[in-house]
Amino acid sequence: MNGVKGRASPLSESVLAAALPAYNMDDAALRGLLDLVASRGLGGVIVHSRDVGFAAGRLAGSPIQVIAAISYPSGANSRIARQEEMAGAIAAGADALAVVAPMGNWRDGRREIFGQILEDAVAGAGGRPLHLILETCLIGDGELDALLAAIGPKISGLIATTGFEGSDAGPDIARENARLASCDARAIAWSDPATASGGGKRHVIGVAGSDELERCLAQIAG
Amino acid sequence: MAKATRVQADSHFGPGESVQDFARRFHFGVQGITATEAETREVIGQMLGAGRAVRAFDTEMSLVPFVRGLLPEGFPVHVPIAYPMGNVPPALKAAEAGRALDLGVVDICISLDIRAALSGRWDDIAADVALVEEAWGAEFAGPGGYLAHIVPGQILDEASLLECCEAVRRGGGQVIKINPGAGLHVSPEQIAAIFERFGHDAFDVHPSGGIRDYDSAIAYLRMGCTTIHTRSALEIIAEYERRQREGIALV
Repeated sequence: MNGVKGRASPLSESVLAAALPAYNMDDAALRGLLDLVASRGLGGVIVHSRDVGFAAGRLAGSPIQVIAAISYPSGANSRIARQEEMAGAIAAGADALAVVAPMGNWRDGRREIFGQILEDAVAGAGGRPLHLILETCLIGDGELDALLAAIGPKISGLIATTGFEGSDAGPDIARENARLASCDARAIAWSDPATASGGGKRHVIGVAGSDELERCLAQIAG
Repeated sequence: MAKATRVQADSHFGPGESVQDFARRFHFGVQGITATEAETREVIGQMLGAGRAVRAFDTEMSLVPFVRGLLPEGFPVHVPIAYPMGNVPPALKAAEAGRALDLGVVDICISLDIRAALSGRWDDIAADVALVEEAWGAEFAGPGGYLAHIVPGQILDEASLLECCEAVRRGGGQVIKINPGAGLHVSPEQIAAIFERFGHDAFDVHPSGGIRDYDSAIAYLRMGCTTIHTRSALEIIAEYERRQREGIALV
């Protein structure tokens, strides 16, 4: 891990950095971000499945979890593609998965498809921590409880948004965090890089580089 | 890799083109995080109600069987792969392209690896393109077939844009979609740079993202693009039809 010794703290360990920006991260920015994640002793880093091997190599020997984002951002690829992506990520060194929930299936009332995809995710994780990324802004208050009941207990953490740039979802992150946290103890707050708003037990910070992550960590600590 | 170009002289837009031929220059559909069967059914209803057949209806892989059930027999369907960031390993992109063929989908676009493009790793881009072209290029080259590689033009400077296109060409790609949409928009400058460098025969060029009106669409067609991706396709086609009906100069 580049000879960088982690300086973990309870706060740092509660943070997962999401290296998932759509259009503005080059190799140097990802390297810098991973090195900062290592030096600050964060709990983990969420990366695209394509980047798992790179991240795992960069963080080798550290306790930092490499979490593979699966079916990101739409959650609408084929079932086989999702299964292959999970298997490939595990083989490349992923310690955990963060799977985008198929919100379209849920909103259409296609619960059998939604349930099948969840079962696939549980199987794909193979006992590793499994986070589910929900676009909670796409579902009403009354349905959120039903959705969480359908998800069941096998999911380690629930994240309120993909944070995807260019998505039509445009979630009010603080509101969606609060909705999710009020329903389920596993909720992980998505912290807005601009404000570091959150309040959950753990934070996911979507960042495009180390400078942005430093600012967010300072805001969260403050 | 010497392949015949996919761009034929008669595929270029010109005055007097029929409304139906004009309509076939457009991709149109529903994709993304918000895509549902309900929305897809509504949009297909709008398209069929307008009475014009676009080039292909755009949907997600998981919705192909559903969409097939709503469209007339043989209506072309288009799916994106690794969209919009190219964020899965190349082998998985190629495998998904094969599954599209299994579903009878012969019109697809594949996102190039955005991080590789931003980092100037052109050999990696070329290798990714070659992997899928060598596996499936011939399968997508038949009638109605398109294997487009999505070049993220908006986030590249001109030199990098051209390097990226050159990498696609080296990998055997012949169809390029310039920008995925999803927040990245094409511009006339991007298209002009590509045609100036490569001429009009190297690539079949499909602009995408931010094309919202008739004038914009016509401008790209006049530059030599053959196919346009826009959610405003029905409105643009209707405007073309109105102008033709009223004898207004089309171009």
